[in-house]
Amino acid sequence: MPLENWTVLIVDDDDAIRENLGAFFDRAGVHVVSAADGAAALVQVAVAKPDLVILDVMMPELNGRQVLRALRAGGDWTPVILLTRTGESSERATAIEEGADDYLNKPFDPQELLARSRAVLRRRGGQVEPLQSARSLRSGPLSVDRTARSAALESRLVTLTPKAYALLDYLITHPGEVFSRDFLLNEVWGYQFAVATRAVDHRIAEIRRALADDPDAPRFVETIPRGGYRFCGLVERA
Amino acid sequence: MSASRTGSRTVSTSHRRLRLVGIILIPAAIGLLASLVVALTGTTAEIVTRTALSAVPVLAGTALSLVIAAPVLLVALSRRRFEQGRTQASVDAAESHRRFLSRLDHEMKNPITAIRAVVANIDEPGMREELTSIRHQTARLSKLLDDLRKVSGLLVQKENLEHVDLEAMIDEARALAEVEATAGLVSFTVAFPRAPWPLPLVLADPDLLFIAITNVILNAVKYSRRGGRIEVRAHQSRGFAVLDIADTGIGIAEDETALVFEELARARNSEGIAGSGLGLALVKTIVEQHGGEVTLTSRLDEGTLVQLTLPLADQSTARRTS
Repeated sequence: MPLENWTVLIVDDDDAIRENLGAFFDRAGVHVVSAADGAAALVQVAVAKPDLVILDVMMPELNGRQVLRALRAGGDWTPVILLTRTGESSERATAIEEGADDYLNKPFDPQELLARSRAVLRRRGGQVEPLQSARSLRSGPLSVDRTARSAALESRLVTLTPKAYALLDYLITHPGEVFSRDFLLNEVWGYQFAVATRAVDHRIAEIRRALADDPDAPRFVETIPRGGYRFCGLVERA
Repeated sequence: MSASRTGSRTVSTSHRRLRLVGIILIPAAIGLLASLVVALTGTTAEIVTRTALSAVPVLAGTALSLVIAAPVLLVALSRRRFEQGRTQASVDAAESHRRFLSRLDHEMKNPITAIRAVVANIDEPGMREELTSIRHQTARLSKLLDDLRKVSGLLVQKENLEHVDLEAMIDEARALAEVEATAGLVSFTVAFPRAPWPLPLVLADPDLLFIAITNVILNAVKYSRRGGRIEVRAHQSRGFAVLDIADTGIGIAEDETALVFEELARARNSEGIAGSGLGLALVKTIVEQHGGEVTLTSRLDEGTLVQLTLPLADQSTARRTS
């Protein structure tokens, strides 16, 4: 599917946001449908069959979370980007656990939302369900049990701090994508302070030690000069 | 809301006092009633007691002690209540502050999102400069909102706590600071104890603590003048690691030192020096979340001392291996 030839459903109870984001996506060549509340969103998903849903969390009556749960419970895996309320990592982790493909905090840059929308569609490709919804993943000798939040190398459990596990989990559920240190810090740690990016390097080093991954010939985590990091192994559901 | 709360507090305090006086007077009232009944029945009987002289001082002393004990106990009790009230008041204030930030966040995020979407849709070649300026300013507002949210929402989670070597962390922060400060403009010294033993480890979220420490050190660099000194000193005091970060920079006026830990507060003499006014609020949140304390002492034009106190990890497990 050419990236611009898709339909997006924008769900937000704020008229100004819905209309102006709609116009913005329209200008980018995307077909736009919209809904002002959760119940209308469920109807639109069934009728318009969008390729992607941009869903605000804070809505009266049926909120974004409930809409997402209703979709997933009914076996509908249309990609969803949640517009979350706060930057707290617990809230974002819950969004992913409940089946969102990505999330963005308000107020955001519309260009960022468009870029993420494209990334989500690209990531999904032909897959019905996102890798984030998998209970366990495998990449060669590495297996990740996402329910137990643990990793094993050749069936032997490896010891990782919770932050290192969270980083590995993020990378392995987005294989092949390059992420900058700033981006990873924001996504995994939930904060963005320039001085803190060394935290990412420290955890990457921990992951490499635990997985016996040679940075010069990586099987799992590759350093992209001036780019950041990416998971370079082939990932499959286990 | 606070006025009515103060009002109800005053009313409940005076009620409590009345009840206390009532309780104190009960024995006297019963005694009075009994005497009246006896007098009305016309009884003329008398009770005569005899006590050994040696026992009299003991009895008198005990009676006096009881008389003194009552008010002392009452004062202690009311002081404890006062302390509890004060603690509760500061918890209430923190909670109300947090609620205010959350409301501010909630009310501002939608309008800013809408403005950013509107601006993204305008394509007027003649207005490129103006649009860039609006974009820049809304991005700035978004960042501010994000930072405020992070300061108020930061939570040190138990699962992220590790044994942290403050000296190694300071070395790393110093390397960062020296990149910021053009080499040679500021002299930087670090002093950690070696005798009788090195500073034990602290239990901390290393990523958050690094942000706090670097913030203070980068402030020292930022507010230093050419040829200034920055000294980082550490020592152990009881169960705490005490970290002094001192500079000979521009300092802060005395009447402003208490305010610098508040969100968005910036000292008068910091005009022209870039900063968000959130750094020290963040430092305070992080350090307090670790069970520590942060204080700031400063003299205008002489310099600033920021002192961080952090609880040491369990001594049996936290001894440095080096």
